[in-house]
Amino acid sequence: MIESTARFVDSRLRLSKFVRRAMNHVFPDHWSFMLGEVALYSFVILIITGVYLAMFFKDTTTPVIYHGSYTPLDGVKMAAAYRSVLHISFDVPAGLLIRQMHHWAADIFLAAIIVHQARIFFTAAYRKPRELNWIVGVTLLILAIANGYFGYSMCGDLLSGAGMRIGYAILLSVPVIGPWLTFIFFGGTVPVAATLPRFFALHIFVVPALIAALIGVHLLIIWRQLHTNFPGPQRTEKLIVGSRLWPSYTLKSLGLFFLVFALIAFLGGLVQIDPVWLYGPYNPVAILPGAQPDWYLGWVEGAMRLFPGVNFRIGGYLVPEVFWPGFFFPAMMFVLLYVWPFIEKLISLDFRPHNVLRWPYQQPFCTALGCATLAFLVVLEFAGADDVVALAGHAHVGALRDLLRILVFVVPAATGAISYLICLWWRRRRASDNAGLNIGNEAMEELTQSQ
Amino acid sequence: MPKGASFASLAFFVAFCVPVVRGQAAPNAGDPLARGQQIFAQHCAECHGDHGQGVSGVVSIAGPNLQAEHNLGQVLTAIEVGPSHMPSFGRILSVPDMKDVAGYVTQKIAVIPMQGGNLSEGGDLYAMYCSACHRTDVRGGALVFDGVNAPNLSHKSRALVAGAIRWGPGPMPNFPPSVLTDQQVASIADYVKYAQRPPAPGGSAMHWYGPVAEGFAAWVIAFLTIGVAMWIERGGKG
Ligand code: HEC
Ligand code: HEC
Repeated sequence: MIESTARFVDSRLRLSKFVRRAMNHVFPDHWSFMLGEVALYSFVILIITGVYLAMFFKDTTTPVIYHGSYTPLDGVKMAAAYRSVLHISFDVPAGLLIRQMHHWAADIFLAAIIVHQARIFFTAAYRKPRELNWIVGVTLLILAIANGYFGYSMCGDLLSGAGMRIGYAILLSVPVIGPWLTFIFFGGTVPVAATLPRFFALHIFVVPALIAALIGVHLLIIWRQLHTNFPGPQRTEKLIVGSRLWPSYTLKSLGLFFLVFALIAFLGGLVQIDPVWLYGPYNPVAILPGAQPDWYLGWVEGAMRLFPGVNFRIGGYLVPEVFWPGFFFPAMMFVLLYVWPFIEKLISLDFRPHNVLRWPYQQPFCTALGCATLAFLVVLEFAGADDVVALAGHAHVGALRDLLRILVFVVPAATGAISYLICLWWRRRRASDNAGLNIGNEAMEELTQSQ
Repeated sequence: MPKGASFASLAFFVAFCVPVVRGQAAPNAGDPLARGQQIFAQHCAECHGDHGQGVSGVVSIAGPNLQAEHNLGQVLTAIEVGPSHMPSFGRILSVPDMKDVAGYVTQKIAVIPMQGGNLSEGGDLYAMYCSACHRTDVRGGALVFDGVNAPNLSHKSRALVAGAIRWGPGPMPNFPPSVLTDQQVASIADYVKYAQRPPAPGGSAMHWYGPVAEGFAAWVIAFLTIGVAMWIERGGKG
């Protein structure tokens, strides 16, 4: 039966040759090559759960009176969107589970992307010929952050409304084009009814389609260029060592998919996330101080809290203080990420293609820079939660903020210096250490050098 | 609070049983509320204000608002024992006097109704008037407010919440009846009470730390998946 179907398809599409080649495609055996897959599978879960949520979500701010099964909000005036989220959480079968899985999957998607990208960075996998894929990856990161923001800003609760307002203020602060940008993305002066349908369209059509397409490109490029390899016996610039796509790699990867799914379902079922019913409906008059964004925007929030309040004029235009930490700083971070492979070329003066990776200790400067950047972001994350930290530690938030203004420079510098020294020490220790790798039954494949 | 409870029962004992045993009749027995008012003006108004609205300023005389003190036993305990800066009246006032002034406090001063609140109205009002400082989850907020954080309200009694709204402790503004009616105050107190331990239908609420705790949990799980990936790479062997 299966065979005759296969023959039927093959005699028409002539796939067998391709499939045979594909099944023999070799993937390296190292856990760090699976990090990107965790991101991919979180994305798959996001799509599956998101489709379910889209069936019940209403993207309008039409005022309605709530009379659903969450009685503490009975009789409260709210946006139809918020009512639909309450409906999903309390009345739709498995609605809360799916909603929570969707939110957790988003948080983990971003975490997996960051870890995956850190792996690429610390092993210098972005070097020629893979700069293109690095650029695709950075674009995916930006799109994922943007879609997370659109997603949690749509719920119509007080917290998401606060987030929407901060996003609006940041975009508006961009010199010259700010008002136009806000008009495109928010449809007017927030709060305005036009925002939600735009966010919804972006969140469920435009950005996911772009992400899916770019993931396709990402994988196609990997397929074409083949994977990199860690340094080791037989692992040269022309040879890749690992396991075949079928069966070993497929089974491994499928196992990972189920485990990611299980972990996200575990969180979705047992750990509460974004309890919108407690925040209450968005009301432009009500203020929510120290509203935290989801973690992947916490560093921007932190930068905005630490940045001193300075407004100045450039060429007659007033540049508001939020512009620097809220827009300029993240934009610069992403620009630096985009051009990093080319900066690295200028630093190392190495323009050759590379298929064998570097261990972090073999590139002390890059490793130190990466660790310092991560430390910088972690301090900013803390700054973004400084009110929570101050309250939990009974500290004075003003004093804590001043301390963080110092730490934000000291901690990255110290982390960079220490990691540099560790790399040097490690390199000396490893200088003569080469042996001990089992390559018995591993498959190999010639690299198709496209250069 | 077993200690408070034993004080309260002690006070009850003192208030109701002792006079009967001693067979002592209260001097110039008249309207107990009128006598209570007199005693209050004499002994308490100095610190608690003429209408029990509370006095702020010098610590030694700054007594809190008593407009939410509905519990006779608690008031008697306070008079008898004298909490913190308040003097003890156990030796100054006779037992019937204490009883009368306590009755006056609970019936005439405590004007903020503790019943008749509306939870959903309370949520709305709380978002408008209180969440700016105490946050919607009533877990408190840090303000750049000469070093004073708006405290976590998750252990405050309803009476204290209602009282705080009227008297406005420290840098907190007070909300007189012209801003919030008694019934609205009761609604807010209801909401705070509800939000102290709201049901968590989604599972563990992680102490209501919000997105900060959520991000943390996401990273814990992300590292767990890395562990799983390493385990898979080793062929599932340890
Ligand atoms: C010297 C000032 C002073 C006088 C006089 C005074 N109080 Fe107080 N009272 C206070 C202070 C200060 C507190 C708050 C104590 C605390 O921090 O718990 C207080 C608290 C209270 C409480 C609330 C206790 C609680 O924890 O809920 C009651 C009830 C009370 N007083 C009743 C009275 C009555 C009745 C009188 C008159 C017989 C009186 N007080 C006289 C200063 C005073
Ligand atoms: C401008 C900020 C602000 C607003 C608005 C505000 N509070 Fe407060 N609140 C504070 C501060 C600050 C304190 C701590 C005062 C102190 O410790 O001296 C406080 C203390 C309290 C306390 C504790 C009193 C005690 O003795 O433990 C309660 C209860 C309270 N607030 C309830 C409310 C309620 C209910 C509202 C809304 C009607 C509200 N607050 C509005 C800032 C605020």
